[in-house]
Amino acid sequence: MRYWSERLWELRRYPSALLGMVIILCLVGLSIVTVIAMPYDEALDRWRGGDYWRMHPRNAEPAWLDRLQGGNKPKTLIISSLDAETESVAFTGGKRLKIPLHFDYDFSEFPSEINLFLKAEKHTREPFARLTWHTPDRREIPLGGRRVSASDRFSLSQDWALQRRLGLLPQVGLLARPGTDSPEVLPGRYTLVLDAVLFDEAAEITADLVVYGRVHGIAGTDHQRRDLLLALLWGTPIALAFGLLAAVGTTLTTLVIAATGVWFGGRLDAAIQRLTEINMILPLLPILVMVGTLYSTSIWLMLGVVVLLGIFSASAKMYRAMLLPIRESPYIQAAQAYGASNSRIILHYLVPRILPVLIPTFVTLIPAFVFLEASLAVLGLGDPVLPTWGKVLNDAQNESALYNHYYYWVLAPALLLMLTGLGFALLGFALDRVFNPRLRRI
Amino acid sequence: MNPSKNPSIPKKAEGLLRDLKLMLLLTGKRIIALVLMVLIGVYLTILIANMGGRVDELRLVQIRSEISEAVRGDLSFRELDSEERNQLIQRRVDLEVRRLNLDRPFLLRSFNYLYRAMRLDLGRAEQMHSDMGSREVHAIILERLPATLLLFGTANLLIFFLSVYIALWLSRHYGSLLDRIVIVLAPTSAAPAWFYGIFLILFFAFLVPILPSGGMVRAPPPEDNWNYTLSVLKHMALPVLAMLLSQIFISIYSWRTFFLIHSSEDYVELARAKGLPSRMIERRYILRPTLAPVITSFMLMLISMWSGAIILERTFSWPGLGTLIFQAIGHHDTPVIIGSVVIFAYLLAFSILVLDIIYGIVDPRVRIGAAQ
Amino acid sequence: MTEPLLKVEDLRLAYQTERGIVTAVDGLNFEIRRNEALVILGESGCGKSSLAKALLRVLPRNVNHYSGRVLLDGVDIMALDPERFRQDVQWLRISLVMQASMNALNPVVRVGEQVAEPLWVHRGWSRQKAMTRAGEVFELVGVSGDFLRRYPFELSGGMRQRVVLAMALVAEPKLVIMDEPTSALDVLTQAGIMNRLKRIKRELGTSFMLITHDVATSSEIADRVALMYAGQIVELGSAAQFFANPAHPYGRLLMDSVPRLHQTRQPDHIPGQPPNLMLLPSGCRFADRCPARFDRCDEDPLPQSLSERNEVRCWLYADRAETGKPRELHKTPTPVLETRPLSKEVLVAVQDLHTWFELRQWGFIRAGYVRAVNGVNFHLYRGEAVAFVGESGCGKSSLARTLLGLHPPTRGEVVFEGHHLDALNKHELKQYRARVGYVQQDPYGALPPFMTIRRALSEPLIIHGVRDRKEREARIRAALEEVRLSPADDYLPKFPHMLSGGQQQRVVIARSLILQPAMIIADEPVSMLDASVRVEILRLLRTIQNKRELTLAFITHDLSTVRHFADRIFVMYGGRIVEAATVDDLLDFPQHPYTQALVAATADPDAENAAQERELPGGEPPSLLHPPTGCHFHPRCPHAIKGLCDVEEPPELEPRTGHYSACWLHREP
Repeated sequence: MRYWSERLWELRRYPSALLGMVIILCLVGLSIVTVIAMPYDEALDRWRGGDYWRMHPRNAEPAWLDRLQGGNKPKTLIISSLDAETESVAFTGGKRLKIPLHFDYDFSEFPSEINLFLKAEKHTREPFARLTWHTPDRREIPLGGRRVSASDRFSLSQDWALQRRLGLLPQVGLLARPGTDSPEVLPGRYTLVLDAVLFDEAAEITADLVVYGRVHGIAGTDHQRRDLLLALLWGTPIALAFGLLAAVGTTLTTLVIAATGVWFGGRLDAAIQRLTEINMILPLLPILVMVGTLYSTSIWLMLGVVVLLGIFSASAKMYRAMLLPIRESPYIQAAQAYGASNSRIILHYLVPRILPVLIPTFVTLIPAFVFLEASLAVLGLGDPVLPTWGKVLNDAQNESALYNHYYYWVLAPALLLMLTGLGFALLGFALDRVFNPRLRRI
Repeated sequence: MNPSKNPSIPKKAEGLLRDLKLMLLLTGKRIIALVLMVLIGVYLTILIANMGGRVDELRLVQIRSEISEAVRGDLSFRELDSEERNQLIQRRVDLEVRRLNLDRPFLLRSFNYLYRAMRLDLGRAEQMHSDMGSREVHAIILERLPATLLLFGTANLLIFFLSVYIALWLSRHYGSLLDRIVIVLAPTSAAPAWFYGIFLILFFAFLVPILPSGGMVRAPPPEDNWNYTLSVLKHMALPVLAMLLSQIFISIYSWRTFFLIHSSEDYVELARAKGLPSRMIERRYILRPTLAPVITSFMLMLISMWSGAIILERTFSWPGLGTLIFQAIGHHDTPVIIGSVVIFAYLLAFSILVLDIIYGIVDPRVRIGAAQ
Repeated sequence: MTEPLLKVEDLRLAYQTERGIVTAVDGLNFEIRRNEALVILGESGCGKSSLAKALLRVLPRNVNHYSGRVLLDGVDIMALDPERFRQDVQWLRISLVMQASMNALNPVVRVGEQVAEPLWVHRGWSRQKAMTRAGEVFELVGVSGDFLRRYPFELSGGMRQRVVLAMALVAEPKLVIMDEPTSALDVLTQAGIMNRLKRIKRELGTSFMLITHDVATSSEIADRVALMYAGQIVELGSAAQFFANPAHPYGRLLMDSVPRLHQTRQPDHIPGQPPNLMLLPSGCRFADRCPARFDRCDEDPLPQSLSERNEVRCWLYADRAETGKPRELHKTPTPVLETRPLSKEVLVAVQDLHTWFELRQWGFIRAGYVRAVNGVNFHLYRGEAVAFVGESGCGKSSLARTLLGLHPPTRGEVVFEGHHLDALNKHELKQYRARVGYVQQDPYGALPPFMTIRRALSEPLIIHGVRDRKEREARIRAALEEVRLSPADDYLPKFPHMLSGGQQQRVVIARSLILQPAMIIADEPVSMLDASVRVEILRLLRTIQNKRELTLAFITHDLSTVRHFADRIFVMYGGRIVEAATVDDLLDFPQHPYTQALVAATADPDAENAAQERELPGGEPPSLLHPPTGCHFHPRCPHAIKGLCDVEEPPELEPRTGHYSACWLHREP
């Protein structure tokens, strides 16, 4: 309709509205890309944690953050035996493999962990593996050996014997320049030689040496090695969907109910009003908390409760106040006089009249619900399976992220929340000035 | 049209007496209405908490585990074989169930719950206890209440008076720099207080450590009152600041807009034509007629803040009701959670009552309308 | 010759709005002498309200230009600094009476304080002293001192207007500016206030500047008249001269358009619309609508002096010095409306109709009944126009709504074309609603603001099952044609706010006709329109009613508009019909004391009006919640018979043939 297009066209005079729209469009675009790039089930599955993330460092900060500060913290290095020049010596009933795993290390700090993942196949007897560490200054450090199961790992950084031997944490001691007081990285080419004896001619063994870094990707990782980028990305569509659905659910139902009450008046209206008053003393968040602890923390249940409690919220009183004079306005009486039915009057005559005033409220409500979802998650009542911003914040808080200086862990989801809030609020405020006739007059 | 022969000016006292009577009437009516509201609200809470018999299930499990533990731990039952022991447990459970009326229909029991909840007899906590060692839910809650009231009372009053005065000033200085700054900053109120809390803690407690990051008072608490107060104030600074940041701009903005709209009312124009000084116009002709809606919006803000209290307190480890609820979630201590909801309902109802009375004082239309 | 009290020279005021600059006041020159009443007469949007604000410097924020000289007792008050102006001029020397809508008084401050306030602010009086004085002024304007400690919402509309008047008089200013002081009030209340004003002017010697759009009201007090058009004064002269023989063509047309109670000539309307104050035409601003327009009108007319203190801004009088006579005014006479003889076919029969509304508290507890319609009997014949006349709160609108089927009657029955209204089922009720059209008072409010004219007109058709888009379009166009809005394409895509009040009302009439009704109920169809448009709409309604043989129920508070636009009149008071007769019989020989009071209070514009006070009943209209016993009019009736009128309800008597009146005075002696 022309009225709408004219009003919306006026928005261009408000730079804040344009900024808000750009932010919202970016968020929506991000959501679409995320949903297409990583399907819902896959995202949920990965976020559950576990083996998928074993090659990621714990609590690594975003790489760009460190580089921006001029740091040179280590990235994670993964050296696969498939790329190595394997020496194979066959003997009867088996073979002996010598796999050198080389890597160049010239970062300023030590890695956070070192693990070797082994995978042995097609054997009848478990193979035997022995490890030797070669440093750039040609020292050789034997790391012991043992039988290897089909899927096995050498957790070098948790090798207490090695730690005692080196007098330092293994991941430090193995890469440190010898003879200095405070450990210092010795740059150069390191080699881990895997000496494996296989007791079967067909048997195979592959190895992955993981030298865990201290920085990771765009968003860093959490205490469960999960890439935060996953939660940050998937948090966007979830937050938008929750905010939008809750806002639509509450405003539309409230509006229609308020309009129905106003139109029919009498006992129905009185009942609706009393219900809003009762609802006013039912505290939303504590009730959500109660539902969350007693039943389930599923986001859909929460959404349902939010909408249910929102129906008779204080805004019903506001809409009622706006609708009451409209109910008495001549055009409604005229409509009644030419035979419009009750439902037609409510939906075609009453509701459209205050829709313009409602749009800004609606837009500003979205971030309120986004933050509500985050609040619940921060309280530990977030949906148990969904990756959301609030859950990231909750994890961060549980792990005392601020105390441990993992600021990125808190800041990234917080900034995204803020961005969402600001985007919608900026647009909402501008819409208010455009659509609210009382504001237009000043 | 016939003027009275002797124009009599009614005495001021008569008007006051009438107002006093009307106010009493209004207060009485509102108290009755609010008691009814609380009654229904608490009953709804009980219904929600009992939907699907979840609470009963929890209680049953609890009773059973308590009894079986007691039976197993009791030396005098050592001799019994498992069959007999189970029967004994079952008998005791049945006895307990009957004693607690758990076998009666829910409808009957719900009224029993309601009666107890209204009397603040909120039952015994499952896991938690108050600092004094009591397991009574109401004792646990009442112990935490003052901390919450202190923090939120201070913050809300501060926000209210600051924003009304700044808004009045801005409505006079429409379009000034400060006015434009407020307009620009208003959308930042989309974020709740706890959110700003995180940033404030990050900044003032970790990056520039000048203020404590949480708690209500230094540990161990200072001995003398003066230092104690000082310490509490220091701990309050950040949470109050967080609430201020999240609410002040939107409050100023909306009230300034409101005052601007109302300063074009006919009676304001007439007051200007009368040549009244602008301060008088502001106080008497803009602020006073709009106080009622201003108070309403303050009330709505208060209600949302009460709800937000839980999470803000958790962020700042403020030992109030919110933290209590959070701990209760952690312990799955249902009686405490339900009790807190009831207490919140009481708090909200009380806030509404106070504001209703203020409403009646500032607006004669409410006062006189209530009496008709 | 003494110096004038107020002399205004070249006053200009313009506002900056979103769409452009609005020139509201464009170079005004006039003066007011001591104890003189100047009336600024003009239609809405001619800038007259801005004039009041400009003189008192109560200006909105968006003022773009404000200049000129205003001499009060020879001192230029425009040159005073704001603080001096506030302390010396405002209220002590010039005060203002606003139209006392609900908003003219501060709702939370007691009225006495609001009245007394200027005294303690400007004069430094004690509150007690100021309140005593406020009590005196209350008495002066006819409000009991008991109301000093009341709040505005506890007062009736007429009382609030008196309080606003008291406020203006409290500091005994030399000049009182009144901006539409009575236009929202009922006839009797309005006349009562005008009576007070005349007395105050006589006793206190105050000067008045009355700003109004209502020609009849202006004649009640005017010594001199300034006629405003599009931001300018086009004619300035004495009241005697202006009301008898206006000089400017606009003045003449305006006087011709005023419906009069005691005149048989049919009023005429002014074609066209006043210019937009944002896009003022060069030359004479009235030229577009002027029947006497000639080539010189392209030039901006200069004020031509006709006699001392009498000037007109029109080129017709420019060459008078040579020819001795102004040019002729050529006006095509409008056709006289024909009336058809009364048919005898009863369309609507109303019997013992009561419409009561329940008052509830908290939505559940019944607190009482508002007896809006309280026992009404009448027949309406097919093809006749009937006027229901009464003051606000007499139940006439509730009667309309009951006839429309919007409220079920509490008791009694309405029979329409042989069908009992309360026996209709849902479907039949809908059919009935198609048979009755509805035209309301506020044309802008009567159209949904978010629908285009096309959509608004299709709504009734859609509701009544006209599915075919082409058929709907054809019927919409035909309806617009009938109300003379053509070409239809100019109007169909527009939203209501883009049309003028008259055009909006035409659309509303078109909508009421689109379902081919048998009856149209028009509730105050012209009271919110400008004087020059009123006649146009009334004529249109009358023409359509004649052509389509419709029954027209025309509801109005203004007796003067009835004469040519209705066949019969019902006078209502307190929810009952007190008098019923044909138009001429009722207006010329009113029988019921209430009708007599109404006739006495209705002024035809005449300079003589200012000299005399009218005979009026006292008191206020009856409460519909607790109506008086017996005859509802007895507490105000000068002829009330004690022991009869206050006890027993009067029967309907027939003091003249075909002329019914419910009053004990007519019973056989």
